[in-house]
Amino acid sequence: MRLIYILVFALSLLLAGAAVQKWGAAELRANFTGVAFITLIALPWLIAATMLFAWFGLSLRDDVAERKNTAALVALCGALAGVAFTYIGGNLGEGPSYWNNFYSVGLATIGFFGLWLVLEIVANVSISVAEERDLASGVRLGGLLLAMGLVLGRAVAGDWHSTEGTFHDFVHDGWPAGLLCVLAIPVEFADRPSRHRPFPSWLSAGLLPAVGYLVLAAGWLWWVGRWEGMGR
Amino acid sequence: MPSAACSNPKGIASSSPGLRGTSYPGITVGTSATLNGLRQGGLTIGEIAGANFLPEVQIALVRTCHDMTSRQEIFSAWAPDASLWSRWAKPVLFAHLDSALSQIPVRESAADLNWAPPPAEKAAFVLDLPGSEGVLNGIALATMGYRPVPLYNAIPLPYGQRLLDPLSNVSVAAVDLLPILSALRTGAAPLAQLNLPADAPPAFLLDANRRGTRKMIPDEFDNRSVSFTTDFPSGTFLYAQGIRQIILLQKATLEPQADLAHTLRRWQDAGLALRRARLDVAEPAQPFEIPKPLWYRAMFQRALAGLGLRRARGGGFGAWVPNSSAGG
Repeated sequence: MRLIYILVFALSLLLAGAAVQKWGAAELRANFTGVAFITLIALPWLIAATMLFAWFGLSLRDDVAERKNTAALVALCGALAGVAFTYIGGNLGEGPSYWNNFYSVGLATIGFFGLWLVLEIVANVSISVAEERDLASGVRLGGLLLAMGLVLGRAVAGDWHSTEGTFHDFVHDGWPAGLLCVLAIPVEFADRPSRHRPFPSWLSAGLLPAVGYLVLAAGWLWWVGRWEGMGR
Repeated sequence: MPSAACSNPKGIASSSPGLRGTSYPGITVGTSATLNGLRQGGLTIGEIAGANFLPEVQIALVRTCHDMTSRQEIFSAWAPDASLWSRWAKPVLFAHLDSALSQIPVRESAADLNWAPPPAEKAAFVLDLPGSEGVLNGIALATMGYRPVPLYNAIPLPYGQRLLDPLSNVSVAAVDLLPILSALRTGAAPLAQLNLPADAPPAFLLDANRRGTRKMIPDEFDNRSVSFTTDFPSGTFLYAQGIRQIILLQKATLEPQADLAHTLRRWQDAGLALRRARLDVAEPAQPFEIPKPLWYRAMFQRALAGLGLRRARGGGFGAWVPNSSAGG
């Protein structure tokens, strides 16, 4: 099962490299080492994120490797992909320095974990995934985290102008991620395992809301359109 | 009634594992001769169950003929695919059954558990007992129709390592798991013979010594462990299977350990009734309620509980404490 996560990890790295090669700063695209550097930095970033997931109630080692919890695997894959998209978004567009990239990536990633924290505090969603081992909860959470990552990544993509400007764009274009988080709370209370419904359907209680989150995220990405500098 | 008359497949059993510094003196239980060597004496679990022993008679651990030898066979006896509870059984300790030290004799015996409710009453047990006593009493409950589910999450001292420090005479490992390992090995065959139903109510087995008793120093083997809420089925799942009460069985204390308290409180919140009893006190199990432990339901509680413990590469807990002077 851990191999699936490793596969998602590898795909995330590849996607990061391909995105920077296509839409990164011209200086990076001019030679291979720039793209390689940004892609390599993604490696420890995603590893750190994986380690941080355990503090949010989902552990790759404890839940996936040792307990063979499929629900946790799905949720963690969604989380990893979500973080990957925040990383990718922060590296798209022109900017004078690598520190601009790191600021953008950091902003989006902090937003990502901040929203996940809110979800955990209010709805304890990790309990449904790690303890109940409920596949529907895992699919739902994975879809939500991926959707939030897409929105937040898009919010920090684009040419760098200033720290204040980046923060303004992050809030202006990233607020739907917060809306997704708020929408997810009543869904969690309604769809998580209970005495009356101990084994919710992974289709109706898992895949359906997950697809809903992703459709909302995709719709927002379509609405907000291209990021500054994407056409070059 | 199954017969225990069979041979030791290797002929005469050795009197000592043959390792320096070992604290295990070797086989001393009474034996008798068979065609191929010594038969290790005692009764099978089947004979014990059929004989209807009085409560004051101690039930000794027995060896049966043609004990399972492969790790997979032994683990399958403890966690058969058909059992509803097998997905929670922890395989990490079974991976070390190849060690010769897993065949040391076990001196403890099971207690009289005739007070346990019949399986039809759908109670689940948690046996938080020291060393091999959990396994022995788990097998005793198995004769009554419960499915023992081993949740031992630590690994033993690696084979070939000195068991005691020659200078201090203190055990190198934080927790002695070898009696548990041995009891799991010898209990596998009788357990398999019981042919428990797939939905037999569970008896979860924990090692009461899992958290160790001392601070570990360099070059010692730190195999302390904790139990997590994720090691057990949720209250929702138990309730869905008809389980309505949990009986905690411990020794020398009634208070549950701090790590187990989280699980018990979860079950209490799910509407399961909690009762507790002591193995060393002849009193019926008493109902109790457990207060909220520190960091209850916090998303980081598991990560926090694992801090300071050493994880084994193949899963579970157990690793050498590094020497601080080692390395650049």
